[in-house]
Amino acid sequence: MIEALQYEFMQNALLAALLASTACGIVGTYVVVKRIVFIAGGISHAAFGGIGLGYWLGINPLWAVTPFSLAAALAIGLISQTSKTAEDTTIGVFWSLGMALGIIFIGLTPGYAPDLFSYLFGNILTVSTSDLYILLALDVVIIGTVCLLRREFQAIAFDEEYAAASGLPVTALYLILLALIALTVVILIRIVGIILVIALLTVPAAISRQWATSLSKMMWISPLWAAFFTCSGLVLSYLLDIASGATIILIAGFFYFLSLLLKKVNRRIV
Amino acid sequence: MIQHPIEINDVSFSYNGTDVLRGVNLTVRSGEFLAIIGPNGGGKTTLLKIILGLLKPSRGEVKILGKPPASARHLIGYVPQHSAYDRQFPITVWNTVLMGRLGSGKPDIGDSGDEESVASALRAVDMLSFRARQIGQLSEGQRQRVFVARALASKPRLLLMDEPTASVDIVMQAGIYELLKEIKKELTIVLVTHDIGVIASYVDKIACLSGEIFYHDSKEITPESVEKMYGCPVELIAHGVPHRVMGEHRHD
Ligand SMILES: Nc1ncnc2c1ncn2[C@@H]1O[C@H](COP(=O)(O)OP(=O)(O)OP(=O)(O)O)[C@@H](O)[C@H]1O
Ligand SMILES: [Mg+2]
Repeated sequence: MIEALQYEFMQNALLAALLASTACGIVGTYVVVKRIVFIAGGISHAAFGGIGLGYWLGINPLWAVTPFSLAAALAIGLISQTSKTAEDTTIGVFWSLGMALGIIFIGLTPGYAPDLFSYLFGNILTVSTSDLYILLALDVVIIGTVCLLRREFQAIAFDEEYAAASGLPVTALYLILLALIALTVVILIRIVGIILVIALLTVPAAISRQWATSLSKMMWISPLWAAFFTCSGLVLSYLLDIASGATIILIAGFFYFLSLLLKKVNRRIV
Repeated sequence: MIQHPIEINDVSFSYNGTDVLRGVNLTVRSGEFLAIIGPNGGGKTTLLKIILGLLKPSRGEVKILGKPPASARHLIGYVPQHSAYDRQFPITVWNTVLMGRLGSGKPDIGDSGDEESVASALRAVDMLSFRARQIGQLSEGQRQRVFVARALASKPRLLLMDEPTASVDIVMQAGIYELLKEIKKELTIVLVTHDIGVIASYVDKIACLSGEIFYHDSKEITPESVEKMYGCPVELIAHGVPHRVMGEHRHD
């Protein structure tokens, strides 16, 4: 294993894991406490349309998926805030609409779509140095926005109606939060793929929520859990020669249930 | 022209076609303490949400401190009757009250102003010693006191309270009313309540809201009439006719 660290692909993979962990731990905190896991799922699946668009246009799909998932996030947010339809219905529509578009685009693209499997299920070992710069830039945007707006985000996560009553621009803040989720999804697609994104957005934050007493503590603890899952998953998948994304998720799931169990036992003792 | 804290002219409102408010007129002058009573479903909460601009009336005009409701929110402190928050949300009492300081245009902005406002609001409801407690680990009445503190912390010019004493014990109820009496020198208060017996001695004016609005002057309220006041909304529902409690009801 140690000698594997000398390879650039392994160093890139570990760096990518750390960058992704930061984003998903911080943004996942809001996803979990505001209970918008389903929205995050909708955004990540709609992002597949962006992957398809990238293939069709013949550009790096990571470039196409960023504006595409941002647009999907804003559309879901605007429709659910302004119309009277139930939010989960809107999400369901976008969820499959995005995937359908992706399939059509890929069908229109002549020839075989390389790496398609890695966008669906992730392949952290193929992260390039230029991918790392994209991930770093996205991380900076996410952390900067959260630092600036953390009190406002906390208020809309706690009680949207009260936040509106106290004069906060709730719709705008909510859309910004969804945009951050979209950016995080873009980062995570590279690591675990579209299908598995939702686990990394929720499990680290859900575990830290069981033990943390404030959003800011959750935001410190969740990235550590995420880093632990991604790095240990990476190593294990390398050693056993199995799929990295799926290994990461299995480890995360295992610790989620372990934490639930410990919490139960803890409560019984106290 | 004087800008009253609340000016409501001929406001009607319906939820999906069901009339809730019909032709409501209400003027609250600066420094006044108004209590709104009325039956369940009478439209009290709806009226407060219209004042906050959270709901738009289907007819009529609303001016809050001379502005359209949505642009006056930073001047209003609000204690909701029910909020849809998650009891297990990871947040301390202190940070909950600090949320009252959000939104631009609040007085004394900045960290020290925030600190001072939150501390004095928590002291006012006797919850300062719980400052580090998780909001989910309080009793219902303690939580209600925290929400009163959150409204006070914004240093509002208009305070809207929707049954703030609903699950608060008698001692603290009296405490909250005494507090309101004290702060009423500096701001205007609208209180929705069912504690008819208690409020008479504190408020300047009482309105009874049951789709339409009726007024009582507080001086007409005597301990003997309190009993009958409870009958007021019931009579209105049962017969749909104006009732007589203390003198005639009058439409303002
Ligand atoms: N979101 C809603 N959708 C549809 N109807 C509603 C809604 N909220 C309230 N109503 C109806 O509007 C009417 C007035 O409700 P409101 O909450 O204003 O009453 P209230 O006077 O505050 O009652 P309470 O004393 O029980 O708090 C009720 O008949 C209620 O059924
Ligand atoms: Mg009510």
